[in-house]
Amino acid sequence: MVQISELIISHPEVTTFEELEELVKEAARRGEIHLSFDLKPEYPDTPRRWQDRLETAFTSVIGTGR
Amino acid sequence: MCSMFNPLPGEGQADVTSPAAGPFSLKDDESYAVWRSAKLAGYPRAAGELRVPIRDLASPSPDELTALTTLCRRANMALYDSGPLGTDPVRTRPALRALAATLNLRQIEDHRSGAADGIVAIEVAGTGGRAGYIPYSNRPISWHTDGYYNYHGPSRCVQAMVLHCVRDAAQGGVNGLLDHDIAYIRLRDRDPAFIEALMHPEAMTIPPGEEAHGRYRPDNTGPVFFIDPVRNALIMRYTARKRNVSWRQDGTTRRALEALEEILENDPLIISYKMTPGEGIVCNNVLHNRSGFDNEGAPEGRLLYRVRYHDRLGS
Repeated sequence: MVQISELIISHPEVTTFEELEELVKEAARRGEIHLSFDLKPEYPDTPRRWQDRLETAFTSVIGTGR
Repeated sequence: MCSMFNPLPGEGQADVTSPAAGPFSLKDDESYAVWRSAKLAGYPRAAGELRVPIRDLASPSPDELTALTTLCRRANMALYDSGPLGTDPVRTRPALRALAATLNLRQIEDHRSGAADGIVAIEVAGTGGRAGYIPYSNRPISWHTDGYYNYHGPSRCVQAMVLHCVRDAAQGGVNGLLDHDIAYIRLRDRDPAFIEALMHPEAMTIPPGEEAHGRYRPDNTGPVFFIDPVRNALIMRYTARKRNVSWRQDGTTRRALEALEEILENDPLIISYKMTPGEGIVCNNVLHNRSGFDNEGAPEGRLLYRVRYHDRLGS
């Protein structure tokens, strides 16, 4: 399981929600099968439905089996 | 993803002291706020949360490795318990190197007290090159990060280390541990100017000195906080000692140091832990101290092994 907070801490170069979405996809590609929404990422571009967006990013990769 | 670091004029290298963006930039409060929230949310509150049992020190399982790496991402450190193998002073040595290699730690620091395998034995030494240095006595050691006296930029500093307890002391020998990221957060929350002062390239100077074996060490000047632009990581170079250190002479630096001392005295996220035989810590050179100890009643005395690396954990 990967936590949102862990992704943010270990990637300080990420400064936007859009970049975080890419990190979430990378986590899925390297084999993570659960994503924990332990923290709301308060970037300037964080959308209101941020959980839906991250879940979609995560499952879009898992769904492809890659 | 774009880099958040500016090159130094004319050198084509990243500036290790003043990133243009990201959580360690004083101009980017939004990124800092996100990173700060994540760091505090994920930070362990007790030693038990940092502890990972390892069945075979030389060859940790994938699950054990994942646990160690995850903790190092969250807190820049993890404690492990390797059981009886880790109490054997001979078999432990190659096992420690193997453990480190599985964590991608390979560039061992060349230390004057290191054996051929790069491992330094931390024990009371009455004679030889280690005698007379506080780490090799039973005296307390104040808060510090390792290698603060030997700064030559991020690529050659001590980024990570393994500290393993083969034998503990009869009494004392307790380590205080605090992730330097937390120290950064506490200081920045008090006053961002403290961070600016401690990121100054001339913040801290260790005066020249004669080393053991007659080698001369020139003075060593550098920042307290700096950035490794390759690994996107915050590194800290610090000693709380009062002698043989000189600080940049300005009021903000002085106040920052006073604030840091207060943090290291009281912070609720400081973890105190006495490692028992077979236990150890792997860390990204976090702030640590050691209480004095007494070997009376323990005939062989306290023995720890330490290996320091120029690589970083959890990257």
